[in-house]
Amino acid sequence: MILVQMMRWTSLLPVLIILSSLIPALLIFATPENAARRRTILNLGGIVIKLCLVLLMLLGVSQGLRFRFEVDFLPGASLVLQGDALSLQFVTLSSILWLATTIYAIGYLQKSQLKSRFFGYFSLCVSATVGIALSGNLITFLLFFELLTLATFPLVVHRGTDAALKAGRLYLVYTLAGGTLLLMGVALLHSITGTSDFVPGGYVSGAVEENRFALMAAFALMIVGLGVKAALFPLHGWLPRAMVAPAPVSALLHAVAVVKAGAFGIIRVVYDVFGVETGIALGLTPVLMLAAALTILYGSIQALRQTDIKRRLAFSTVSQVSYITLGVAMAGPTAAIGAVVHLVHQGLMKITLFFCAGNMAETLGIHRIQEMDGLGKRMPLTMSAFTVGALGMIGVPPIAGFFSKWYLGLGALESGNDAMLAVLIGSSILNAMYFMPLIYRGWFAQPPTAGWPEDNFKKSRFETHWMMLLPPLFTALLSLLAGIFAGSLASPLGWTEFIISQEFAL
Amino acid sequence: MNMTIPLDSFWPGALIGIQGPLDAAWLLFTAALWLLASVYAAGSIRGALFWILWLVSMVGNLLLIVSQDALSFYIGFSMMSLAAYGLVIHDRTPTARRAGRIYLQLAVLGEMALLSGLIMISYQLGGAVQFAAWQGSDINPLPAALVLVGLGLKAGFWPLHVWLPLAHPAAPAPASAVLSGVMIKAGILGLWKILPAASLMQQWAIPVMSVAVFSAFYGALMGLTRSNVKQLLAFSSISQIGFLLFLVGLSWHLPGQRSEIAVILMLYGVHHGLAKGTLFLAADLFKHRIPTAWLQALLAVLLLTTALSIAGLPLTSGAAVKSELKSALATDELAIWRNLIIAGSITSALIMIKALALFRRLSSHSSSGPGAAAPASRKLFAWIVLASCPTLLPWLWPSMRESILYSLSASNFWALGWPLGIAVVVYALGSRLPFEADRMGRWPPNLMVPLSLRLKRTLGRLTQGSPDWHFDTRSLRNLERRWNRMWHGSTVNLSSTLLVIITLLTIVLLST
Repeated sequence: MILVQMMRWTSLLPVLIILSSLIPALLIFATPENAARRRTILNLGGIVIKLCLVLLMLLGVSQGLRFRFEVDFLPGASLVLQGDALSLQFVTLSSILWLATTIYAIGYLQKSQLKSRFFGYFSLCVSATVGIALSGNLITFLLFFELLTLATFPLVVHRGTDAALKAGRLYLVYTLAGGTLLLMGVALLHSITGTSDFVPGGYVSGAVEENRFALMAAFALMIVGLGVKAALFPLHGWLPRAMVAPAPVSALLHAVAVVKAGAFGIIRVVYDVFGVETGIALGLTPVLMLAAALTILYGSIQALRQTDIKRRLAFSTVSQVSYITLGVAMAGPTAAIGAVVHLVHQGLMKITLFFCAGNMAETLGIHRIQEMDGLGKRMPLTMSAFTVGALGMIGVPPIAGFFSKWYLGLGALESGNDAMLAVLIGSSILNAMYFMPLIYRGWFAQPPTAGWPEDNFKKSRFETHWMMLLPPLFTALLSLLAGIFAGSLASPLGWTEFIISQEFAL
Repeated sequence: MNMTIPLDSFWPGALIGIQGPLDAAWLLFTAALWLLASVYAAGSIRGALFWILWLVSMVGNLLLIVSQDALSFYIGFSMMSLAAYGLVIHDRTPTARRAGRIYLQLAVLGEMALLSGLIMISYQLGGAVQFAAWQGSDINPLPAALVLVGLGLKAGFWPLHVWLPLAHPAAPAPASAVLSGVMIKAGILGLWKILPAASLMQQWAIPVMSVAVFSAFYGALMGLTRSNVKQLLAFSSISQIGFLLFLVGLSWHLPGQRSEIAVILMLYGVHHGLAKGTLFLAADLFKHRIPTAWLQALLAVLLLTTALSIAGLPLTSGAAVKSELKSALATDELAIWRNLIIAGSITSALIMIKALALFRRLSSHSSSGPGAAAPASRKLFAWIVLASCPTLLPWLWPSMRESILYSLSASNFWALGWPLGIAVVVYALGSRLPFEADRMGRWPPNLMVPLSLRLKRTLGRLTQGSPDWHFDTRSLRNLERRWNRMWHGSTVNLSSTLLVIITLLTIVLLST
């Protein structure tokens, strides 16, 4: 049976995509600390192979091919990997951002110790993320979800300081508890309906009559479990603390891996397990929507109170990722477009911001907002990328974030949740209030007369190490292009419309 | 003159192009003013940041004019608005920073109002974003009000003008010229493009026209109390935007005459944009020492004709638009508006005479001052080209030629001339009154100034509190103690209670 499967490339491809970072991860663990070149080759080789495979799958899916791989795992639930339009969006995002982050991390960690451990877990983390994206059913999803928790812990505590270990412990407490709740939810659902593949429209609608209460409980357990990673209020406590991690880890955590895994899980549970109709019938989506709206406003207000750049960005993530949950919970096709496309847009913009924050910290020792005065004169390119990311978060066109907001706003009205439009607009105003001062300081304030806290990379041809400069410029450019060419089919928005037309059978 | 290009691979529904003479003329004069202001500014203003933001602002402004769909309009509008912040605070003085802060706060607020309005309209029309689909359809009052406020904050008519008298004087002269000449007019063009002449707007027409006329008077009278020429010109812009808003309101009032009013709006926009741009640049040019006498005479004549063309001096573009405006109000039913407009042109004339007096003081200071340098030749060239527009344009541009020829008849000549005469007399009498300009100028206080400062301070205070909200675990421990005390004596303690609850829950869940 398995052998027959192996023969077909369509079933092999999802596995290969995961292996393309899993095998490098294992090899990197075995790489000696000082073999930097071998590690770099392994890293970049893995990415290039993965990108080629993802491209192949993208072409296949847009031609209507189906990619599915299955092995027996539990009774009644096999391990399924499949590539549909939604999973491919997430896979593509993670692969591209993995490329950017790896290059960044190589530059960032040059003086750091234990690089083999770092890059090993780094690749493992991406394998888990891609696994989450390609999961074909809840059991598989759960497996990779837990793997992700374990793979990210060593990255969070990489520096080994007291603060890092404390943050790491908190991270573990939150995510393991979340994982347990998710496990309970999945088990409960499995006992009611069994576990079948993710299908647009869900597979539980048949059981609504008899198991109404149990289904609601399963939904609540799963959403709370996923909400820990998606940093839904009040489960977000670990995220701002995890800021002690090195910048590339924060970037990955906020833009693709952990937070997005939670948000992606919520999308899967609402659309492909329960289905929008069932969600409405059980009265579950309004609750989720309220939680998301609360988180959006709470995150923005907390962000206003921070004086540390990375912490402000962290609370901004709390707020922005809930846009995705909000769009999902509004349960309409247009809102869904906004939600799914924001998964990509937020990733591009937030990773840019974190790269830039890392550049400021590593190059000039800037950690606090007050220290950003006059940064544009010393690091114009970093500051430009930062500006693109920050304006995009506010929703200034033509940067990608605006288009998420436009569709979410339209979707709010379409699904009859007019108040959510007010939440979106209010959040945009709050975003402006906490990002504009940073932009102002960077470009318009005078540089400190006493000089910068530190001044590294003076001998570099550019304002900082080129490997740390290139990734933010690349992702800032992508978030601009994703906005300007939002109407073309190859853009995240175009692809999202393709996904949603399948989910809602339009 | 219709030409549109769909940009399919750009943002959804993107459609740019020219629809009708209004767009075409607006695009041309906007581009011309940006060009001449750039020539004027080149060399005198340094700093890559200023020039980058200048270009972004210009691209946004041009994009919003050629946009034929809501998304393109909004994209252009926010690029223009936000980038112009850098133009306002270019000097980095405390006044400029305060003006910039208020400008930015209101710009963001206005954009959000506009965005929510556009989203609502687009939803109401089934997701359509192209203006062609918006015209003629009736929209709800809330989005219409939001769009009106959002664009009004940019256009700067009363009572949304608060940022304008602060920002225009603070910016360098070429930036004020484009801010006042073309950017605030983007608000008016937006109202024209976005809000269709349907029944709701017909109901709103009279209130909007009243606000517009009030704004025309208010701006002119407030301007009279200023002794800084750029502040005065900013108030004059508030007054002139009132006339433009009046035309938009009139088109809602008389939907049948929309195309005729479009022509007047086009002429008025071009006339005021070029004339006001000239005057703002003059506020910089006349600080220079003008070397030769004949050049002094030429500049003085050009300044005089430009300033008075805003007041409706015969044979200038101002005369053409004023007589067009009056002829649009020729019916008896609109007589009251006609009289108000005539009264408004008296106040416009008054403020322009005051402006000329201030310019005279400015140039006499500069010619006596030792430090004043002669202006660069590119500045002179740009200014002279721009300043000759009000006199040359009526003869070069066919649409304006018709109206200027019409205004030449004796009765029309008289109709244009007497308000100007009255204004001269009133000014001569008024300037003898014991009246301290700047003390009067502080009244009424601009409420936005303390409000904006308060917002800034509140945000500053937020970051000073403890950045983290810690959950005090001791309170949990107390709770636990209390809980244990409650069960004191019985064999059941906390953990076993919890276990029982969990077991019960599991049983219930599995059995359902």
